[in-house]
Amino acid sequence: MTTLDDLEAHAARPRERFGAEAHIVCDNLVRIYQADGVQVQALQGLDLLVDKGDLVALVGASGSGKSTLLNILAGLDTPTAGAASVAGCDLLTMKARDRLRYRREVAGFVWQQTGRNLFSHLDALDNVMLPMSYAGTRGAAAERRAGELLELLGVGHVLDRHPGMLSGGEQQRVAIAVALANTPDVLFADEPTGELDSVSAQQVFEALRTANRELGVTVLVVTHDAAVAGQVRRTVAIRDGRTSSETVRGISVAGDGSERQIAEEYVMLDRAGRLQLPGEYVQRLALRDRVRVALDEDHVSVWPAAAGPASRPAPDTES
Amino acid sequence: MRIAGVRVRTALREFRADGALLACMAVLIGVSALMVSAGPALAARLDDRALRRSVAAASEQGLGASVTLDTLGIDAGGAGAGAPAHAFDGFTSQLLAPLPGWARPMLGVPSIDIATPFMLAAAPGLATVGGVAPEVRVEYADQVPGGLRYVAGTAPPVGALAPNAVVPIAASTATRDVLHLTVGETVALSPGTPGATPATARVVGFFQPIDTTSPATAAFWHAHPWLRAPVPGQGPVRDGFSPLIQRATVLTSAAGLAAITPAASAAGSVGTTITFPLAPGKMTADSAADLSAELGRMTDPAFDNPCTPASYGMPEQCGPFTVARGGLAIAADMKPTLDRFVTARAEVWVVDSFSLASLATVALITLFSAARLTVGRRERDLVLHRARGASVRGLMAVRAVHGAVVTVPALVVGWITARLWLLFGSHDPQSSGPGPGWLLAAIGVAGLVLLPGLTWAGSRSRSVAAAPAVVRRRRLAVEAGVGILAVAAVVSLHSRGISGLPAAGIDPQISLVPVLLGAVGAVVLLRVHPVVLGGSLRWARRRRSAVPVLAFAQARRGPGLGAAGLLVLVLTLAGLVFGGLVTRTVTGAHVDAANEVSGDAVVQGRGLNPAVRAEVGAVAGVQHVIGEEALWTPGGGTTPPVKTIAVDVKALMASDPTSRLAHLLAGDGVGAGTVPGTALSASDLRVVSTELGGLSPADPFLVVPLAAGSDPDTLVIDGPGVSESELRAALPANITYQIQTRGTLTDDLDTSTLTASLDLVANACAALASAFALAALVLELLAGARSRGEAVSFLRTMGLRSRSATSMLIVQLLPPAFLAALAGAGLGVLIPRLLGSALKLRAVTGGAAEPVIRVDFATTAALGGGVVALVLLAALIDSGLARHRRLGAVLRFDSR
Ligand SMILES: Nc1ncnc2c1ncn2[C@@H]1O[C@H](COP(=O)(O)OP(=O)(O)OP(=O)(O)O)[C@@H](O)[C@H]1O
Ligand SMILES: [Mg+2]
Repeated sequence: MTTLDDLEAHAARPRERFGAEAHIVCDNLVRIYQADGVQVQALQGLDLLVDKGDLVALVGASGSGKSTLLNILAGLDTPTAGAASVAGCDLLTMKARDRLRYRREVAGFVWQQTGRNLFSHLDALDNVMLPMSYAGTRGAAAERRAGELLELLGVGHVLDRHPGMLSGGEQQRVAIAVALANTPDVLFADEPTGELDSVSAQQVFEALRTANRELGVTVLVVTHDAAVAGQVRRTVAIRDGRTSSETVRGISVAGDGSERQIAEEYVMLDRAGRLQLPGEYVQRLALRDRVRVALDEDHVSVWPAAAGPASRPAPDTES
Repeated sequence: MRIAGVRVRTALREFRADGALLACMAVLIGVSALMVSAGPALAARLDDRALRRSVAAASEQGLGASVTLDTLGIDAGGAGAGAPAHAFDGFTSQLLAPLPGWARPMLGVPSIDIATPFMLAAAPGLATVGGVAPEVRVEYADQVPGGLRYVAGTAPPVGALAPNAVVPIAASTATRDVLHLTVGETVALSPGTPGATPATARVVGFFQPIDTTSPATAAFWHAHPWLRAPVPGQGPVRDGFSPLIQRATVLTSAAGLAAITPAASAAGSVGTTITFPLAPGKMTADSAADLSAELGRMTDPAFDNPCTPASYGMPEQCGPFTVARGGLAIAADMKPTLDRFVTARAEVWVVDSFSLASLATVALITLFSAARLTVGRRERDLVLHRARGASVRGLMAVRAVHGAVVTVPALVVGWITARLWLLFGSHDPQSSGPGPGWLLAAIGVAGLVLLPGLTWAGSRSRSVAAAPAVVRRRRLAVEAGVGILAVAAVVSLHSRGISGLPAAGIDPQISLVPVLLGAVGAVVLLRVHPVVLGGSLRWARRRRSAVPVLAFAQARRGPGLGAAGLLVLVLTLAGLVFGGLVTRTVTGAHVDAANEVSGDAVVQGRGLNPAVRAEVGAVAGVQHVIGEEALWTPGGGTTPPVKTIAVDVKALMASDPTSRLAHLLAGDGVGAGTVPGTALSASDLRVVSTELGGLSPADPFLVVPLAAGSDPDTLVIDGPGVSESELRAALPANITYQIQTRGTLTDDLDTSTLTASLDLVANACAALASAFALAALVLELLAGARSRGEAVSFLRTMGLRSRSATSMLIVQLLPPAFLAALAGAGLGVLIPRLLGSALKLRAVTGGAAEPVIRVDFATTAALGGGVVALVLLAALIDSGLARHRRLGAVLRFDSR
């Protein structure tokens, strides 16, 4: 029997928020573009959780809304509906002043196009020092730190060159240094290796890993590159503006002591209990309109409506 | 360690990267500042010239400010012995004393003229006509324009006369010959009233006028006909008939006139006239209104009376003059000339305000286009700065510094250049016109505010795009707002009219009208443009030619020129058409005024006998000479005499065989034609209009054939291009003739009215606005160059030739160019009607009525074609720039 005291205690307990303990939280995020009178729903209720210090890859077909998501998370765009917070900053309700602080101190951003990340009329060092000056770090301290960052990412030798005189891979690494200039909590990279050959891409990805490892920055990177996706622990796939599935890679130690890389597939379950099946499953089993489900002891089974194990009598016919 | 902060370095680098466009902005600001600082002053100098011309012309006709005194006595020696003439100096400066200091030099050195009434002259050898003695008046004139040459004896001696001395007089040689005078002869002059004592005068010399024909002297001799030679006229009625008598004027000294005054005043009043000629060189257009007001005050009876008050019925003492009570009158006959000028200047400034406002708007839009391109091509950098944590305020501050670095020096250089320009060729006194203060301030503010303002607009978050319905509603609201404002401005201008206008200056309300009307034009165009494009696209599809289809399809996504480009085109063309309209109306009205003169040249004067007429007929260029004479036909009983014009019918018939007047006069068999004025039409009147003078055709008058033996007093000459000086050379030198030719009349009207300053402002505005418009068009095209370049390079991959790319741009721009040409020309033609009573040109044209606005469709069409050509030129410049890779890279938008 619940007493009044119990109820009061229950009411006083803070309501558990979706992913309250995660570093990046997207809850039912919606972004609608309005262009020439046509509405494009780029994000249609996307959910995503990323823990602090994680390195997460984001994959998905072209036009699935990856860039849209990253722009919102970087504070460059605002969502139409839903909730999003990064390192405790609510991206929806943020005031202009907080947004500025967020861009300066919380988030760093790297675009796909090498030419879009850097000011062409400033050399590499100045490019790194500019965001520092916006955040209030100036003078010799800024210059020293910028040099160290470039050195750390393997581009210390090009600090007095202008972007036009850098290779694409060097430009992207300098861009990562720029994004890291103010020691942000999170680094967002939108296809940073998209324009690069595989060797340069590997170097750039190494730089991201370095940032994640050495500086403890949470990294969310959009990529099409399977090689890149294969190197991160967690890969999130987006389909039609929603997170559809997740692959988590880990090392499993077998009974005989041998180590084996395993990749487990996950799909997202939203708060209403809806889940989206991976497209290839749907195709392979020709799932349409209606599927049959059954709850077993520790899992749920799904069959095409026509097929499946011999149907059990419906509960109402039984009674 | 790097020098200066990274942000300073960034700002400097960005400044350098935008150098070309920022320099373009600097040039625009500098030119605008120069134009605003120098323009009004230059126009005002032309106004000065016009004022001086018309004042000088009026002065030549003897106009000025004058003081007349009904003189009873003169104390010529009052100022001391020696030079009695100087006795008047004190009085003349006393007359000027109440005027403010600045106005006094504008009234030049006064001339004094004192004349007795005509008195009967008697001397032993004096010629008489039928036993009737001639009448002589004695005159003192301190200035005789052109001068006199004494051929015998001396001029009447200057200096005091002994009491009761004989008055020294001098006569012209013509007077000597007619009256048989000799040097040393004593003439008794009696007032003619019984019991009055005659005065005695002695002839001391004979003179000849040195020059009577130049414009400066002709007026004097015209006003003093008796001084030159005796004039026969009808004397007072005696025994039932009035005999013909000779009348002449003789000159004397100031002291001589003082001595004769008591005797002469028995015959009638001795008139003293002190004329202050206005000194044109000392006058400025800016002060004309004030001067006119001062002159008005001077003629006011409440003005400081220079005379000592007298007890009732007693004469007053005005300086050295004893004047009949109330006999002092001050007239400012120059005032109407000044007033007409002031009105004309206000009228001209309405037009000028209009032109300048259009120009200023075009300049501002051009500046806006340059600023938008400058900020727009850094759009990507702006996003990057924001992503890297720059605050909008910080970015605006950097752009504000860029703006200041560009604006302040450009303004200063423009202003100093204007000062130097004005200093060069300056002479005082000079009008400076309306001050450029607030216009300079407007340019400065625009230069300072545009870059940071556009930066602010560009960095606003565009994530929450408005719904299409909201956008449509907002657009409708803006359009309605512009329309309502335009209607309100026009209506209030209509009701206000020209009154309440500052004498010269840029009227804010009038300045607003062209801007609003241009905006209405652009708004309408933006609505019409898609419709026209749709039609063009359908047409091109039927023709199945690739380039037009592609061009129109691309143009449908937005007019290649944008609202700013369309507004610039409409405003520029409307200004050009309106300016042309006004100057055409004014010069056309001047030609019309000149056509009011009966012939290509008209000669008026006495003694136009057959020999003289033959001489005139032989002058180069003269085709026909028609003699005319003004007469009075006595009315019967109580009816007054009727003005009658006698016309040489044979000559009129020769000059114009179809003339209705000639046929009426010839009577065509029905007796001698006496044609009543009511039977004549305007075209018949033309040939006699000079003789009609101020008489309106409504007053009764008659036209009769000129009697065979009589000499006309007017010669109407047909012969375009006949020169005044050649005519004058053909006429006898000893008679003063007035000669008027159409050519000089038109020239006089053009120079003495404000045509020159009107032309200067209209032409300068037209030239500058065209240059600005071209710059604005190129800038607008460059702003769209990126998307166009993308589309073209895409089409190139599909096999489009590079020449086709240019023709595609041209085809794309033709519909908006044609629409803008139509709208601009239409607006320009409509503006006079829209301005209503605020646009007056009566005083500028110098005509009697408000002139009819002349619309010249050929010129308007040519100007419209010019606008289309301007757009094509801009398109060629744009594709030329695009071909220049290096320049293209400088001006390129960074592709995303
Ligand atoms: N500014 C915009 N206006 C209108 N629609 C947009 C805009 N940006 C993106 N979209 C649309 O939103 C959807 C998602 O776009 P987004 O750029 O996020 O895709 P993406 O996953 O990054 O694709 P890609 O892998 O090709 O970069 C697309 O259908 C796109 O057309
Ligand atoms: Mg993308």
